[in-house]
Amino acid sequence: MVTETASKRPVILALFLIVFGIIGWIAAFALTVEKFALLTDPQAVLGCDLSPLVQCSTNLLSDQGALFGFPNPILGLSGWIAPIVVGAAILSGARFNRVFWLLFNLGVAAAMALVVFLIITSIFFLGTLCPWCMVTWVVTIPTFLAVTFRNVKVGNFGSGARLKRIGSTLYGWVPAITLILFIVIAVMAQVRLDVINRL
Amino acid sequence: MSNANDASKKARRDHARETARLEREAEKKRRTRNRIFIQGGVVLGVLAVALVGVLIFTSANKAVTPSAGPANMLSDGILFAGADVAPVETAAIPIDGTPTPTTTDATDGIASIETYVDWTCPICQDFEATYSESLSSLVAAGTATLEVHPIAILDGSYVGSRYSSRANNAAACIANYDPDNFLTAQTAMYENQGTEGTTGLTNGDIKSILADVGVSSDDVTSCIDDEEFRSWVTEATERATANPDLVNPTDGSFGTPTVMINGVRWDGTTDIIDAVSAASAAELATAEEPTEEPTAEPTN
Repeated sequence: MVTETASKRPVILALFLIVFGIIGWIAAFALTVEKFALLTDPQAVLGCDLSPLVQCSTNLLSDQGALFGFPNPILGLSGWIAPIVVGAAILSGARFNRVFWLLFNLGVAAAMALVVFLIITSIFFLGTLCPWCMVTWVVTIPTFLAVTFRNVKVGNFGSGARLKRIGSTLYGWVPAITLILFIVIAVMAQVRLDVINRL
Repeated sequence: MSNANDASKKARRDHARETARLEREAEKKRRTRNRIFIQGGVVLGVLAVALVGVLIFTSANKAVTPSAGPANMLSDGILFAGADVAPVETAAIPIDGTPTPTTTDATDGIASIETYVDWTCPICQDFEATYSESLSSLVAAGTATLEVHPIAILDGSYVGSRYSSRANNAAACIANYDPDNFLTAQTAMYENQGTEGTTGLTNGDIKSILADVGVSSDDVTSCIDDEEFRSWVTEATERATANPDLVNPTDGSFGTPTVMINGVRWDGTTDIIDAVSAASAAELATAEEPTEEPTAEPTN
């Protein structure tokens, strides 16, 4: 029987999951508390309501802000705990099996899908840029890319050597791809909302 | 084998290993550096393309030639006065000019009502439905004048169709070319207002709504199609949103409708008819004050 080559402990990925997980959690927490404020007084001016363009109220009060019948930030409040714990566990020496990594990937993929939907909603249908929402976009995108490409790299999606090499290359390109996606989002926001002139 | 031979062979092997290790590390460093350069270069390239693209796009859309404001709106608003609630004709704000506020007499008992409204704003629609007839009656009775300042603050609510700006432009067109029908057109535009979060109304929709109430002259329709007063719309809106007298004192925000009665912002908590009548009465009281004469006679 051939034993799999043990992959190195992904220390950098672990640190990244912890830091970005904490940031994502803080954003979800802030949005949750702001939602409480709006529930108490729907006319409240929130701390993150900075201008007609940069504000949280519209997003929090929208239908898309409670996609599953409850405020979306609750998903973030509970969901971001996962990457934090996974990262901490890896740093302490834990090794997870393939099924665990694939399920974890599923979770971050769901987060990414939600974020993509909300980016389009915010820019093209609500016409606002919600500050804490944007923080969430910033941390979700690289988290999804890093976890997915690492899973490809270590063979969790298939053990073919070529696939793993592709995963390895893509994994190395995560920062660049993330920045490019940020640029794409910024261009969409500028073209649709004329951000530069309205800030 | 002699010790000296072993020693030198070992030394050569160690030396070779050391050289190989240094080469490997140098190669790794070179590859990392190349990777950073390549990735950084790609990102910067995408950024450069994005910036150029956005610059071209925004300058193409901003190529708005400054124009004069609409006639009959020298103050950025159209004034209605008198028993037949008729528009008061004025000149237009010249190109690159600034508005001249309407002069009012503070003692004639005629309160000045100014409304700052966006024809695409749902709360303004409610305000219109609730108060427009009452306001017209106040003007007809000589208790007040009404100056309507249409502005465009809601382009962001209509997903890129600029419905708010185009509706505001239509208001300017009507004030300029068909001022007698301005209030009728305003009511019609409110009744057929689009829904926030959609693209609102097209210029074609706007023209047909106006045609239904008798506003259909070629001047007005081509003014709507060409967005003749596009630059005035932007400037008047900026002037209104930057005016500190118009903001809500509790949170410093500006919204529509904003109603000013004799220069004081109506806070919406009192009945507007009462507020206007009170302002009118206050004017008349001020007019009578300085004429008190001592009339006491000494009693025997």
